[in-house]
Amino acid sequence: MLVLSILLAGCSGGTATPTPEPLALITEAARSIRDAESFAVSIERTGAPVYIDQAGIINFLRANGHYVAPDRVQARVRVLVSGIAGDVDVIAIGNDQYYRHAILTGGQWINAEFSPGFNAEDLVRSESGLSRAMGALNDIALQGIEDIDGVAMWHLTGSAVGSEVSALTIGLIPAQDDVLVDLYIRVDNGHAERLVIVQPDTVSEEEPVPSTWTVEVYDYNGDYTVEAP
Amino acid sequence: MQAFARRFTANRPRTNPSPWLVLALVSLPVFIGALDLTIVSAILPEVIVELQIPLESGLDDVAWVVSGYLLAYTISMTFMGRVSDLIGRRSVYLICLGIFIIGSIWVAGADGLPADAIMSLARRMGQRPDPTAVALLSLIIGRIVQAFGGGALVPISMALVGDLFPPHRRAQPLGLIGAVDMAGWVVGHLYGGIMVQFVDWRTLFWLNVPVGLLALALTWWVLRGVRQPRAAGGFDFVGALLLGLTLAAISIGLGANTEVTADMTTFEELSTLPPYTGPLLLVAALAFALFLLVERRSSNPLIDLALFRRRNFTAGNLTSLIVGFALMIGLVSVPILINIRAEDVSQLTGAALSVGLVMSALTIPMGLAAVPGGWLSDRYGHRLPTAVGLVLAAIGFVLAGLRWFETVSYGEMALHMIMVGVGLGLTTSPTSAAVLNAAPDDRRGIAAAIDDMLRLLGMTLAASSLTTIALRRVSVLAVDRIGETVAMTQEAINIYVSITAQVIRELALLGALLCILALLPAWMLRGGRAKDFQAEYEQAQHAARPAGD
Repeated sequence: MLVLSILLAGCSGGTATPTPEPLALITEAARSIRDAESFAVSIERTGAPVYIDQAGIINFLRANGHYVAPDRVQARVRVLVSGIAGDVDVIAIGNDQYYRHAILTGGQWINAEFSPGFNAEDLVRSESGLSRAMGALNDIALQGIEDIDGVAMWHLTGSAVGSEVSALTIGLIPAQDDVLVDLYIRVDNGHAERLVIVQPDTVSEEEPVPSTWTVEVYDYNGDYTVEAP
Repeated sequence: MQAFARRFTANRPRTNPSPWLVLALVSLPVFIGALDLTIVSAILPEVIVELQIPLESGLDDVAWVVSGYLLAYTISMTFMGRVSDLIGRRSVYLICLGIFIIGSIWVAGADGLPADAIMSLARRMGQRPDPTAVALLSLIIGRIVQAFGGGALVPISMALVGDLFPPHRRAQPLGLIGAVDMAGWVVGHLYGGIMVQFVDWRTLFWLNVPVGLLALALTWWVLRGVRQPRAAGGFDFVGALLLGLTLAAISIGLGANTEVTADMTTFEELSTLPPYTGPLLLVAALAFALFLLVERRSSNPLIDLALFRRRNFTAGNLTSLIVGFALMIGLVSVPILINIRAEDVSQLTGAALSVGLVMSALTIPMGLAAVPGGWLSDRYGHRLPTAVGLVLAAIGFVLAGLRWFETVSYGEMALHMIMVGVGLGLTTSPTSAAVLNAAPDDRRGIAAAIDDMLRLLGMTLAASSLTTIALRRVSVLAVDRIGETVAMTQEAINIYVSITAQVIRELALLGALLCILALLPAWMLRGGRAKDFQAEYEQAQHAARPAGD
């Protein structure tokens, strides 16, 4: 019985998942993001620091939040100011933004722009947003299936024009030169779950490790709400 | 061949090492375990910066690096002595030392492999925790493992004294273990503060590994020749479980702090306690009531409650509990006031040394004052030096409460801490002596352990609750001072520094109040003069002499 099971498993393993076209995978993944009613998202930066303000004081670390269609986002953004970590809570509804910080705003929400020009609908739903970013990948190659924390995912690699990535992320990823991209798409439902962007141009003598952005999109159509505070 | 093997395994005659050599070798890990109790006070800011822990929402969790160790150390102290009675000192001692070494390795690499393993496990369970929170959790778990091993070494060493020395010669070795334990946590912050000038904070924990392994080999060798009596009776599992539950629930309940959620919209909400605080404190109360019930009925109780019927035993332990709490106020306030004055993270390493030095002004005089405290106790009884010490400590706290603004000099802080240290130090010998003398001869080991445990319990409760009190108070004051306007960064930081200094002054006044409160049990202490003991001893000798002698 055990031998039979192993044989059956071996047979099914050999024919289960036909290799898809990389472009078709990406198109389907982009569509699922664009059509989602909601999803959770996390963005993490490792390696060389990236400053998100003009003065070069606020160093972005990570953000966790959720998106609710068509234009609502709520996130907690962790930044380093003078080496000390702090959290800023941000809510964006259309072009309206609110934020609060325990020290800077005394924990009170204020109605002011935290990220000038940010609009969730432009980023997620429009044809010029994330969908275009994913479609603009060059030199795409399918590396195969990988197990990421117990979930089988297609692993695709490619590159993208830095300035385009920068424009699409409203300057959050301030790339100038080409960036390297690793995209992970779930085998079971075709959802893009992880995007790793490496900026080789950030390497310097002081910072030998390039800035690396890990964007994770998950819990598609989960039960989230975003309200103005 | 079999006979040959038997000759060299079972019942092989062993040379008995000197009891003092055994004691010296088992004391080394006791010292390191106690050192790690306070070592983090100096290095915690470095840890906060390196692990990128947000100050406004992560400070209460960071406090668990200290209070988690204290809690596990205290819980381990309560029952590991008894476990060693039942299954043998040597094996339990070596296992606990091994646990301490494993915990040290875990702490040293907390944000590496262990954190990755926790993160991977969480993600496989569908969770996506904050990597910073996972690294901190990993650090706290490592500290708890370390403390569980380290805390056990004290009661096992004390119990070992009973195996090595006859009853009339146990006072000195018991005192030595107490002194080694105290010396460890007295110099912990200074050691941490100095070492962090040269090495990364992780190295301090890596250093425990070779020292621990050497101690493991030496104690394995030296304990081979020691008689291993096994006590009859069973282990009070229910009592140990209930006491552990009580201590954990009360610490977590008191330490329950603001949990910032996305739903909160005002600072007032930020300053409310989470909903589990009340239920946890209720669980602690119920578990403690059950513990008392179980102990009264148990034939092998973990703690002999009958001891608390003795006036000096209860009064001495109560004083120790409050002294432990007051001591922690000093230990918590100094690092915070010094670190908030650092203008940027590059100054934190220097601040660590200042923290170590100013805290030593509290702890070293405290350790040294135990000697005149004992002498005064012999001459004037337990009550007087305890009361004098508490009044002196209260004056030191009052001065800190009046003078510790953000501009106070380190010299002035040190002066006030010396007063507190000398004051609290004067109380340790008389209260310990009162507790020990109140216990029957065969219960002195457990009596000493209870006294130590209650002092540590006071420190644990203080460490967990003071962060809550301080953060809540800071948030309430921030609402008043910052209001609903957006402050400029530097202005906001200045306001917070000033508010934090104010809260520390308030904590110092709380310390003074506690010292005054401790005068009540201190006043209940009776006797203790050496000449009274001498008279009692001569009377007993006289009564024992056969008539006609």
